[in-house]
Amino acid sequence: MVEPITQWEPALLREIGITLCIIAITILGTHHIPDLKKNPRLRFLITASVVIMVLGGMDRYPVVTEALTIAVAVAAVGIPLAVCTRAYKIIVTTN
Amino acid sequence: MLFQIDVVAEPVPGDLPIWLITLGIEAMFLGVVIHTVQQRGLYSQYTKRERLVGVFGLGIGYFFIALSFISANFGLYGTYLYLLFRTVEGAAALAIFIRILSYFRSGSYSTNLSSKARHILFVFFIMTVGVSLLLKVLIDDPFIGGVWYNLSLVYTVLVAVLTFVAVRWRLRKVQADTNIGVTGGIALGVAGGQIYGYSLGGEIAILLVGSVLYAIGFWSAVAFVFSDGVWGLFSDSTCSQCDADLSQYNDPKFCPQCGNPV
Repeated sequence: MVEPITQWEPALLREIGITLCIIAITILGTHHIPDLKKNPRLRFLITASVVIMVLGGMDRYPVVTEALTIAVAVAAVGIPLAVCTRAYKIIVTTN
Repeated sequence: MLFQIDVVAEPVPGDLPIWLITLGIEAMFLGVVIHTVQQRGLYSQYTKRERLVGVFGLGIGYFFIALSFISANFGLYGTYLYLLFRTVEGAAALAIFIRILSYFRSGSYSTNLSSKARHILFVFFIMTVGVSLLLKVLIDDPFIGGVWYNLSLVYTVLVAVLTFVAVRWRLRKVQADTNIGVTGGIALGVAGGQIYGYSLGGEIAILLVGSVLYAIGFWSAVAFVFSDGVWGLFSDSTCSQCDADLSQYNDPKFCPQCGNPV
């Protein structure tokens, strides 16, 4: 029986997440290069190369993984904090 | 489970708090991304396929990365969201006192009664359905598991739904500036934190800290409102330079007549 996603190893979850994010960022980023925009095969090759490079680099430079994890953690903590601060401000200023 | 009978009953289903918190994080992220993309007009730049890959890749990618660091800290994150919301609730509690004050001063109740009535009716409807199900569990045969399992299930889901509705209601004014995903995500996270199965000691500690933050939220809001809101009603509201009546303007920074800083 397959374990629920919430019980998967953090390292595996991180690798899947980083891979998907890099694919998305590369696809969206290469949109602005006219030569690549018209050549989907080259675009695919570049995306695959970037994914391999980053995943390979993650082992050599763990600081990249840590930085990405910290960025996600900051977003997860910061978004509710910003929204609740805004709600607080609205409550205080509209009364 | 906060305010619940956690000593004798665990939340049912056991994974519900974890999934609510995880989906809450995901909804918050997607809400912020969609809001930013719409604000900056980036949406039309990309083709349909690119948008699909972008949303799928970033959304699911963020979901996995967030899950990797939160998988050992669901309780901690749920507590953080719960405490954050308690502070906002404390500030919001001031509104009722302000309304009573303004009612006695002006004789009118200045709020949108129809939306409030709809919210109260909706909460009443959820409570009615929940109580009916609880009664059905008590007087009827078990329809899923044992009696205790069914009671815990109905109670857990009822508390989660009520918390979700309450948080969405409290953050409704922020939604205009952000996105339904952001406020919905926070509501899911707070609901997850509310029904998370803490230890008894942890539960008592969270309740105490939550009460302290509620009081801080309330009294800090009192300090803000009464410093320039309510006291402003009794203060001199004329321009020091041209004696123009400033009470008709909403918190002016400069006198509209002569431009003198207020």
